[in-house]
Amino acid sequence: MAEFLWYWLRWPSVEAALSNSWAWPLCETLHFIGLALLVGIVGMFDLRLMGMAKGVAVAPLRRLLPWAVVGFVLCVITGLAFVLGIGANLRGVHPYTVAVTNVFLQLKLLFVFLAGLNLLAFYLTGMSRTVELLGPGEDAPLLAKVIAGVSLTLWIGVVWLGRLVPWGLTPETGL
Amino acid sequence: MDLLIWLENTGYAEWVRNPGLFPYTVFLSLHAIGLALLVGPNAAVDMRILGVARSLPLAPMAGFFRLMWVGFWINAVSGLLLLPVSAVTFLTDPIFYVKLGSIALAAVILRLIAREVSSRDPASAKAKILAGTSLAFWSLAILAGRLIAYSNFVRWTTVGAFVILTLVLALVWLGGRSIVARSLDWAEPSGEHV
Repeated sequence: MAEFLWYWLRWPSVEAALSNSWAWPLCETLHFIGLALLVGIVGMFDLRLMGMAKGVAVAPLRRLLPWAVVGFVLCVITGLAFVLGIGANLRGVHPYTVAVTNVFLQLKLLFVFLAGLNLLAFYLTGMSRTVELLGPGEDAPLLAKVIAGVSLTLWIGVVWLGRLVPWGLTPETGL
Repeated sequence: MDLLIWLENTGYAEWVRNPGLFPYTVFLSLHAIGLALLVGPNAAVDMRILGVARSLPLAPMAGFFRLMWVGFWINAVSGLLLLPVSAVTFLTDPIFYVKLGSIALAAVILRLIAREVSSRDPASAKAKILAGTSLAFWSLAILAGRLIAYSNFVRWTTVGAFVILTLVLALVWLGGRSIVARSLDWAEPSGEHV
C-alpha cells in the first residue's frame, strides 16, 4: 500500500508546474478566495437555518449554493496542487511523506469528510426538503438547526486546521 | 521606524512569536475565519446584485450584514494582534498599504451597498458598479495579503498571472455564458426582477 501510494502520489508534472515563480502564490490566493466563497456562503445558509436573517426565504437563498460549490472546487484543485506539488516549495519532499505525517492535514481532511457525512444526513433525514418550504420569517425545525450548527462548526474547523498545516510539517518533510 | 523596531522587540511580540502553536497560529486561523465570514457573504450579495440567483430578494439580505461586520472586526483585531510580530517588515512595505487601502475601500463600499440593498431599487446601475468594485477590491486585498510573504519579482509575476487568469475566465464566461449562466442561476441579459 505504502509503495503504491509512494508511486501514485508522485506527480513530477504538478511539481514542475508549481515551480513557476507565480504558481504557488497564485494557488494560495485562489485557495483563500475559494474558502471565502465556500465557508462564507455555506455559513450564510447554516445561519439562516439557525435563525439569522429569518426574513430570507430558504429556497431562493439556496440558489447561491452553486457558488459555494465553485469555492469548494477551487479549494480542492489548489489544495491537491499544494500536496502533490509540495516538492516545488520544499525541494525533495515527497507528497506521501506529507500525507502520512502531517497531523493537521489529516485532521482537516477528516473534518471535510465529516462535513460531507453531515450534508448526507441533511438529505437522508428529509430536512433538505423540509427547509425548502420555509418562507420569510419561518423557523427551521430543531433537527435542521442541529445539522446547520454542525456544518458551521465543521467548516470553521476546516479553515482553522488548514491554517495549521504548515506547522504540521515534521522533520522528515524538511522542516 | 524606531517605534516599529521597539514594537517588534516588545515582550508582547516575543510572546506571539513563540515557536509553539499558541498564540501565533490562533491569531492566524482567526484571520482566515474572519476573512471567510466577511468576504464570502459580501461576495454573495455583490453577485446577487450583479444578477446571480435573481429569485432571491435583496432587502431581507440586510440581516447578513451584521455577520460581515463580525468578520471585519475579527480580522481587524486579529490583524492588530499579529502586526507587532513583523511591524518593520509590514509597515515599511508598500504592498501592505495596498492591502490596507483595498480593505478600507471595500469596507466603505460595503456600507454603501448596505444602503442600496435597503433602497427601492437594490439592483440599480449604481448598485451594480458598487458590487463589481467590491469584488475587485476584495480580490486585491486577498492577493496583496498573500504576496506580502514574497519577493518583488514573484509579486509582479503573480499579479500578471492573476490578471491573465481573470481575463481568460471572463472570456470563457462570455463564450459559454448561456450554459454556465443557467447552472449558476445567473440572470439572462433581459428580464431582471428584484
